Amino acid sequence: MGKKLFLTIVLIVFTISAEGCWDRKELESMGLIQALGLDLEEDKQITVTAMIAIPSKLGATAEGGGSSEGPGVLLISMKAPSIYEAFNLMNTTVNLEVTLLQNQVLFIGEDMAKFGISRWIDNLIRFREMRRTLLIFICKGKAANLMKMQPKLDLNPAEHFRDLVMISKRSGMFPMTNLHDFMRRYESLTQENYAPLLTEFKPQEITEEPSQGGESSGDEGEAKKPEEKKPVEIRIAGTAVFKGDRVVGHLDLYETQVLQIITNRFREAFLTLPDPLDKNTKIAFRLTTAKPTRIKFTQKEIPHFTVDVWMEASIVSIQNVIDYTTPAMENFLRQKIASALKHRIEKVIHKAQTDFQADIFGFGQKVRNTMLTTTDWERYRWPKKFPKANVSVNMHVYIRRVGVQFQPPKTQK
Amino acid sequence: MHQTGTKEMMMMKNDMMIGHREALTLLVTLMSGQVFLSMPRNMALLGDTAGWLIVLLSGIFSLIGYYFLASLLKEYPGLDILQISQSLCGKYLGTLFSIIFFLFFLSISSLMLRQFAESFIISILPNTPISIVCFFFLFLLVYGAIQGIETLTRVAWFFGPYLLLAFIVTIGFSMPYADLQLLLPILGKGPLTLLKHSVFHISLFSNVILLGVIAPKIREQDKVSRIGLYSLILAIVINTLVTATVLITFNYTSTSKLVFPIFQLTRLITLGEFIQRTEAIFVFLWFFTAAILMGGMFYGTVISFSHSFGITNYRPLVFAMAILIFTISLFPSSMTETVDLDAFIVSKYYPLVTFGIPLLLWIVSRLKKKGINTNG
Amino acid sequence: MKKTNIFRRLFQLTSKKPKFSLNADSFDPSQNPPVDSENETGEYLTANLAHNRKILESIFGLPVNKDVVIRDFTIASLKKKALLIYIDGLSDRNTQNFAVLQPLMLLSRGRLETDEPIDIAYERLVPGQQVEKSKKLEDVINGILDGSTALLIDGSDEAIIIDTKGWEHRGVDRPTNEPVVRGPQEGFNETFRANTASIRRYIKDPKLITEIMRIGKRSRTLLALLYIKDIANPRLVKEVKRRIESISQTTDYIVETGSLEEFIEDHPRSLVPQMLSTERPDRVAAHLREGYVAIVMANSPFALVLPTNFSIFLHAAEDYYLRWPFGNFIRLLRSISIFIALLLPSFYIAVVNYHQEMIPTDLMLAMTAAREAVPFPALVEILFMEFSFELIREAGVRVPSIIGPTIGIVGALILGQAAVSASIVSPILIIIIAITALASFVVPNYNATFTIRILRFLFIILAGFLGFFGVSFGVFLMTLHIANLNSFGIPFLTPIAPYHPENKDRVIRPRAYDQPNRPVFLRPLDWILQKDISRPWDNSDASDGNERDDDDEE
Repeated sequence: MGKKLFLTIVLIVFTISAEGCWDRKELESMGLIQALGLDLEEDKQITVTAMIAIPSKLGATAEGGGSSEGPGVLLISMKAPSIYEAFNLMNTTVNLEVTLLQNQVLFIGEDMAKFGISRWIDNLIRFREMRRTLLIFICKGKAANLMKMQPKLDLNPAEHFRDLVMISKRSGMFPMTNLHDFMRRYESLTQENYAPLLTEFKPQEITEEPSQGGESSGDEGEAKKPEEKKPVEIRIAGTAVFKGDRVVGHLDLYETQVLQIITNRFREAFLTLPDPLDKNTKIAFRLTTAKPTRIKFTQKEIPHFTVDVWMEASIVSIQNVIDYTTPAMENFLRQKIASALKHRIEKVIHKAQTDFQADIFGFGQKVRNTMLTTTDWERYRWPKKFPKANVSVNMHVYIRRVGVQFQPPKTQK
Repeated sequence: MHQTGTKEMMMMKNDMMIGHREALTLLVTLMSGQVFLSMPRNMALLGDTAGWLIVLLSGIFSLIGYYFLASLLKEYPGLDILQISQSLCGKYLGTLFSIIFFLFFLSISSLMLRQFAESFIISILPNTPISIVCFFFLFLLVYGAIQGIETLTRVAWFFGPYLLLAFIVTIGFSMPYADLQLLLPILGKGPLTLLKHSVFHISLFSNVILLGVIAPKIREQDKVSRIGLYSLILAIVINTLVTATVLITFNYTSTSKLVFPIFQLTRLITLGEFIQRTEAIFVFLWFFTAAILMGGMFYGTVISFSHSFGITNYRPLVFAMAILIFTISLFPSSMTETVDLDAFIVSKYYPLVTFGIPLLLWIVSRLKKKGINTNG
Repeated sequence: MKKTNIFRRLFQLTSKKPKFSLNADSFDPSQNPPVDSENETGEYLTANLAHNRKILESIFGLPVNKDVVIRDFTIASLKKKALLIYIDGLSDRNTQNFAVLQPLMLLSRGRLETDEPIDIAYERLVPGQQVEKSKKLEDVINGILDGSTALLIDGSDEAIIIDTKGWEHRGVDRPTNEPVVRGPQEGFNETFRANTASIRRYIKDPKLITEIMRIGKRSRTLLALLYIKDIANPRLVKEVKRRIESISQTTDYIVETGSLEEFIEDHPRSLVPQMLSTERPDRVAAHLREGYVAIVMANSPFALVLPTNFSIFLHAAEDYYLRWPFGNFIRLLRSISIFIALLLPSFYIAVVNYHQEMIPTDLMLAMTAAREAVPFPALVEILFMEFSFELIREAGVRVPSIIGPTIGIVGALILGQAAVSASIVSPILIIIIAITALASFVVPNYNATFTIRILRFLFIILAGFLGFFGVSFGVFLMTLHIANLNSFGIPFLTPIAPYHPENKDRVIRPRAYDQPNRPVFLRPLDWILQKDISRPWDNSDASDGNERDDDDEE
């Protein structure tokens, strides 16, 4: 009995395993897509651009090492009716099986973003290989174009993007968005969607004046003649704002800071203001968040919000010889900073209300918190009410430290 | 068909006893396993932001339903629910009840088998045929059932702390993505809807009936009802916490569309740059919970079948039962059909079996007692 | 002439007869029934010396068997003829000459004629410290085979068996397979009495009982069963004795405790050992004191302790000799190592073949780059490496010590550098195999290491088949199997499952003063090990109140 049972089991196991192991993939047969780009064509087909890693160039081994001539990735574009069909088409020329397992970045081209991504958003969350930790960028122009970039400090472009986004904590100038956050905002009524905006970077760029705000992004690069051979360099130029599923406008870098402040994602940044006592010079501060931003909601005839922001500022640079490092002067400075920031914040909120009519800040969540049932909330129709809402901002700024110098240096002459 | 009395049962079960801690862990795992399937999504579909409240409320209602089972077990120590039904209602009605239990366990086992196998295929083994995944599970079920429920409870206790730890880790690491405000509005779709769904969904905790089947084997007979109570409470806490965590990480709109919410939750876990995409480690947690859950239910199937027909040694039945369960698990033609069937169609009848039958028996026993008192 | 000779020798043209064969037709089992020696001669000695001598000669095959020697002489004071019979080599010449022959032949004076010569000889003439009288032939034969000398006197049907054991043997040496840094450095050797004496030195308790049995019809190996009478559960002792006695005559040769293990364990086909075999007397003594039972066999430097539980994989003697934090540190290290030794290669396969997303991107690109040059799939690679490593391990055990270091160098060279340079394996794999190998040496019991080595291969195959799903399947199956194993009535996973809260020595060991009870699962007779407050001089550190669930009484 024991022997027969054993033989039966062995036979079964062998029969099964004779078919092979279904899911086994060998490492070297996988084409690892590091970044994916989606562009919309006129006939509503999409061009999928994949950045496939070349292991021998990117993998640093004892023998060989990463040779830096030529790109470490293979860039390939295919046009197809849907994303995954494009993979099949890619596999007609790429000899490794393309896979999204190690994908880190997703680029959405301007055409698709302006048309509306609702047709393709399901693509992004249904297939198991797509992960919700993907970073999303909206590209000005064609994603395929911007993906031609070659980083100088990193061999792997996807790492470059990842690190770039991680660094955003230091400047607050662009929002880190992964697919999870994107989907959450997409599917909820409380907040409109936004994503970092990527453009091409030409090194002779002028810095933008913060007091002007406005659409100063996206104009570079058009005038110069496109260089095919020179690798493209990219730059994040602010935020692309969605209403529903399509892009309706963008915020520049400084406006994005405001967005981060209100949504509580702001960590630190440097701020330069005109010196209040001497119009020709400037003072620079390092701003950090003191307390989380608090938004209060009261329902009167129109929704009324009070936004309280607490910031700490440390003086970083004084361009003239006025000694601002006394408590009285600090008090004076505090109010100046507060009013300047308040002005900025109000401007951005106003822009969102009038130009975009999209609540990118998430005020809707505060309204929702006061509801008792989701049916009530869905009947309230917040997106229609946002443009008419009344928002008042209170800035609280504290100057805590002045760096390692008290009075600014003075020449004796 | 003959009645099996206490002594014979004890003799044939080889004198192995289950400790109370082991039984507790087994029951908790039985009732918490479904969080790995589509349960949080179903709750979000029914109750929007108050999905967790539905879980909590149905837990409280099931506590009420459990009271009848507990008092029956207390009145008849050393007997399991099948024997109690036979002694209270006579041979034929008792056999009918046993067959009903058998059908209940059978349907749970096959639907769970199908759902868990699907969950593994969808998430980590996309190309493997379902029969292979089912075969592996069935192997474990058969092996476990042949060795008896005591072994399974020991394994459950052995893995218990680690499963709990893994749960906590999953919930803890999702905190960076969590926003407690997403639980508001607190009443979801409205209090009436909530109540209605809670009552109809006490099937979530219907697996507690296995306590009725393994009660005679528990070493400390006086603790039996407490084991059920504590395990129910713990299971309620775990289920509610997990549902709430899913809701605060993904808004209710997204949760109601996710196929396996916990899987998506584990996919989000990131710790710095190094620990990313580590959801494959959670396969262990998931697999162990699934195997223990199905092992317990399979045992219930075999025992209730053998009891209905008076078979004393259930071990040869195990193979046949396994094949039966496998066949039935393949009836639904697709995964969506399975989820639909399990969550909305068949599960309506579960509470009738697991809470209704003990209630009935309790009433009968009360009537009989009254009858004895008035007559004697 | 010579050429034809060579030709003939090379090609054996004449016949194909082998030089020697155990021809089947010459052997007919029915015609040669096995000889039952007992029926030949009967059980008891007779009073006639010549008759006894003939019996013994026929039993031992004298005069052909030159090992057994018979020395005839006369005892002067009794005026009787006597003979000594012994085995040359097993008995100590000096003892015989000076303690047996000399007193009997030279030093006995006077007239002691009597009808009971053996009694007189026993009480007054034979100055040996261990002397037995017996009428049974069986005892005489056993005594002679053990190395004692049998004295038969004409006119008496009793023999005196004088203990003159002495032969060449290994001294008490360090335990070769269980070395420790902190702790006694003595191990068992092949001498029966030296082993039992070693254990006795650790437990100087008059209640420590040594029951001696013989097993094996032809090997008649001495076996000692040790237990402490007022601690060990008498049912356990009875069961062990029953099992040993029932096999003692069924087979004719049991000489190592390893073979004995197979005969008396509950699940001989399982991959998991159910008895602890140890070379250290201090370990045996520690277990005896808790209520376990020990078996010591002659010619075997390994003693068995039974029953055992999963601690065979995890507990080593040194954990108890070190301080609590250090001992636990090593315990934790060991627990982690067991997982590594068992599961690391399968994890590697599962991750590399099925769950590649778990690898950080940089590492993955490096691994892919390294693997591009390798022609084999990862599964074949790892099986090949594991197999070679097992080869090295076995070879390392058997290799003569002269070329020992060479094997190490050769092994390292071949497997390490050359394999990688020849692109047969990838470098990451070497690291994995090395760590696994080191981890597997951490298991403190030789039997247990085999469990892990064999299971590791199974896990690798499972992982290659279904990734983490396969590995978790394997772990669950293994746990189911182990949870069901019984070692002499004790479930193998005690005290984790079934859970005994008083016995805290599971993975982490409790403080030495914090363990008031002996292991409950052994149902010992004397339950209390220490008083509740074992450090009475230290008022602040009264033991933290061992909570014993009152309901856990069994």
